[in-house]
Amino acid sequence: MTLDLLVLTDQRGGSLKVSSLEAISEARRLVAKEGGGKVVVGLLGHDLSAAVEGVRAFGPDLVLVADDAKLRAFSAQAYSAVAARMLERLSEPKAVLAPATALGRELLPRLAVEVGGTIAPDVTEIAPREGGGLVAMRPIFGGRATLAVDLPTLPCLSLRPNAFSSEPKSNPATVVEPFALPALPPTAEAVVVEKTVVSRGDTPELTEAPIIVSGGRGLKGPENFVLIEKLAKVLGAGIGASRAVVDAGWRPASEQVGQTGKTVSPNLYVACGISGAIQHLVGMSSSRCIVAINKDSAAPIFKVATYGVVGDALTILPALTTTLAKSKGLPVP
Amino acid sequence: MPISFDLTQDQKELQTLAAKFAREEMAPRAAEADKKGHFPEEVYRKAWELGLMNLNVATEYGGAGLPLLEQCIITEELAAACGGMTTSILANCLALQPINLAGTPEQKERVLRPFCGKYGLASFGLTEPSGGTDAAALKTRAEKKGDHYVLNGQKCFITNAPQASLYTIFATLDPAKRDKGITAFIVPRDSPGLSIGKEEDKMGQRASSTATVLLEDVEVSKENLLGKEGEGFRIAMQTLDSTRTPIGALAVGIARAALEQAAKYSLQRTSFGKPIAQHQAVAAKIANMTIELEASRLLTWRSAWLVDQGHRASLESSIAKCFSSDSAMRICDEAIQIFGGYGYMRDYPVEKYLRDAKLCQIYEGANEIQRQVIAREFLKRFG
Amino acid sequence: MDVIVCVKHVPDAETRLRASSSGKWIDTDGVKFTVNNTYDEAAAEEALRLKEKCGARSVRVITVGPARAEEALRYVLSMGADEATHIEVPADALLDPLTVARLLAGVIKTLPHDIVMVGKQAADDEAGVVGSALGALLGLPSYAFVTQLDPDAASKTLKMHRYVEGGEEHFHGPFPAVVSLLKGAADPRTPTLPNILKARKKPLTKVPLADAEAKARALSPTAAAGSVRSFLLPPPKTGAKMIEFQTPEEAAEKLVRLLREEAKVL
Repeated sequence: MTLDLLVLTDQRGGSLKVSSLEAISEARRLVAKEGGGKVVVGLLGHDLSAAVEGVRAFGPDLVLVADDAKLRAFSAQAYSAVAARMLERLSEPKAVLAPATALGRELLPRLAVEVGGTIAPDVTEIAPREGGGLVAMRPIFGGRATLAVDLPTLPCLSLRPNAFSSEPKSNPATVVEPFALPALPPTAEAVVVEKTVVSRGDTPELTEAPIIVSGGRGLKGPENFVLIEKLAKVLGAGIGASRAVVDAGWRPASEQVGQTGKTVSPNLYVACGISGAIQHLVGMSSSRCIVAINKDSAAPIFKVATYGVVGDALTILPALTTTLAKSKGLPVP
Repeated sequence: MPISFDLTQDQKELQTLAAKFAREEMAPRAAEADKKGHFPEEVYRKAWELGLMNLNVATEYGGAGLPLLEQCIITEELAAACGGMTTSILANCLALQPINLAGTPEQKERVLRPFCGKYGLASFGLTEPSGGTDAAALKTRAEKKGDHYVLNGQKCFITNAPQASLYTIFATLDPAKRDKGITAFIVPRDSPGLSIGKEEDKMGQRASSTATVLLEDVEVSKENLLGKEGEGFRIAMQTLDSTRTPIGALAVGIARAALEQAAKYSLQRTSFGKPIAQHQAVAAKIANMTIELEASRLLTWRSAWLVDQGHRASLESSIAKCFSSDSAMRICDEAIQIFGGYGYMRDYPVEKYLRDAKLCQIYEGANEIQRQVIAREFLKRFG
Repeated sequence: MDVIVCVKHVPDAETRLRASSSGKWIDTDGVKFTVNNTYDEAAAEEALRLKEKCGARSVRVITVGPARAEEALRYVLSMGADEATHIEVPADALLDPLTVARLLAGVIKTLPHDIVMVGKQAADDEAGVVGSALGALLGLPSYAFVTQLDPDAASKTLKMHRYVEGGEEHFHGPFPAVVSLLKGAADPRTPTLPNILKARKKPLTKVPLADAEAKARALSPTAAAGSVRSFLLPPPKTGAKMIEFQTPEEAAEKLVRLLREEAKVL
């Protein structure tokens, strides 16, 4: 008996999201763990030839391509109807995987209801479950806790971007097949996208930012905050500052983190050249993961940090920015 | 009636509303208003929009018509964000209470309804430069001339005086009659002869404004006489009886904020390898502060409950005001001590709590007079 | 037009999380609950604006939750909703989001509804499942990550904006529909004190769980759902893991790998 997995990818707007590839790779790993099965990728949209090549490089067994002008605009109702039909092509469907992008998170609950499956959104870890199905881990309460969820029947999982690695794999046996569009509900066909607006990539509001890069006296002068800004840009992070540099007039008060500034608890807080005075620590110590970069190995910031780098922020920051930009396929700022 | 310490659903919702307003509108402006002695009118306007002002005015005249317990619950939440702003908000209740108590239906319709129908501030004018505690000795004169009265004198330390549109003023028709000569009046801001002196630069509660009201040949029509001639002292005392308890709640709010800040800090700050909260000396402080805070709140709520049940509560309201404000001073003082050097710095909120709390021991009847009342009321039972 | 908004009563954002004795959820003892669930409040605000903008007949707020969840309904009634429905479940019920969606759908199906609004996700379990699932269960289109919406009653079309990675799509689609809101056009209003007191008198209907379950079964024969195996808190911090390196590049590479593979925060 083989257990097959369906992976639904996200290529809204034409470009295949990296997180879609992560989902394919994770599907491959699950199949390997379970001792066999097929990874079937469902591509939905219009003008999909580039996306087909993109997913092929990650070695799926079968690629079903529903390429139709009617799927140009994303409609959960339409996509779910098509995906449900794709699922029928799997001999023994074990699970449906998709990236936890806006599209994936919107689509899967609808599909789960329509095919009688179970759901876990935004998962960070997946394991086989004794007695069939899967167990999924997913962060809750803003990352302050994790839930392990038992999914006995046809789990539909959206995978948190970056939580799973993507591994290219050549598979000469990959079969690509066009998938005939089933009849769609009329309300689904009536969804029309008029235009797409690209955001200007403003830095997020500090208290809401999932990632914050923060700088202190160790940066030596206001001109060096450009290093913080560059890293923040690559990470899509908010910018924070210690009280010392706000008082010195290097940065605006709106960026101050700490007792007399803002209290933040992002998923990731990168403290650069900040020694960690108590009034700073009370404002950020509940962050999920804290990286401290400081020259002084005895600095109190290392006591609350998850990862510590003893070194000069002025040399570490550019290296970090370059490494991250490359790994995300972004231009190095 | 059974005693219950469970808040009703309504009380919880009012508490939530007040807490949200305090957190979103008051707290972010508190430090700045304190530093600059700035009167944040936008906060008071928003409080009025949400119905958090004029809590003691009946709904038929446009107020919230809340029992005293509900007023206390709201007051504590507001004061936890800023004592000064809370005083300015409560000052309306104080100023309007004489009208609630002694106003005729015609006066309430003519004065209270339009006042409550839009944003506005009111002031209670009893205290004078020569003293506030011995109110029967007040010097502001009222002279009857035909169908009106003429007021002369000055009222000092009057909350909201510079911004108020309405004043309740106490003046005497005959100083020799002491309390029997005192008479209460409604005085609109635009009365010729009414002017406002320099704004006071206060130690604390700096978000609230305080000034002298000067009365020079101010004509007040007899329609604006509150109650009868010579009833003013009784009206003033009844007013203070019913507004004293919320001062207890205000002190509880300030003290609660100080205690919460100190508790959080004591868990964060480490010395000798552990959080200072784990040192006995600090833990004992936190314990004592908690005991005093809880006791203050219970005394305040009980006093409010008695008033709501229609009881005379001179003893209990004096105890609530006196104990809560004295406790608040001790709690704020200890909060500074727990913060150490940081506590003494103006960048941290705790020293402000102490300055704000101090006024609670002084205004609306200094704690010395409260103790006199408490002793008198209690001794009555023995002879 | 009839608008229904679904809300959830959730622990206050500042709640200190402790595991319950069952090990499957937080210990709710002493926890303050609130409707101050950013997304739900935004959905309620948007529902009320729809009523004001298009003269909707009514805004009904509905929740699935234990007795205490009535507070969330009262809050939205105080904001201005007209009526409320409470599907009451036991205090310790741990419901899968799909089960919640089925209970809601069963009851909503029996009520007039043109637009069903939900917040993007609940502040506690952050599932964000109910909106799309409701759409499927009610047989309606569903739109998620919506940041702006404007109904045209004549053509029964919603003009909307929705979040997509890196920007926003402007699109339209038909209603009746379920709309899951990422953020609203305006900050949620704060109920005024007189409105809080008035909300007392607004109708609040309790639906017994058995009734709601029967209605749900009529709508969806299968009841497949996940179940919580365990609730896990991160281990306490024990000081930083220090990164050994020769060059800044090596430090950067090691750090990025740890952030990606161990901490999983990138």
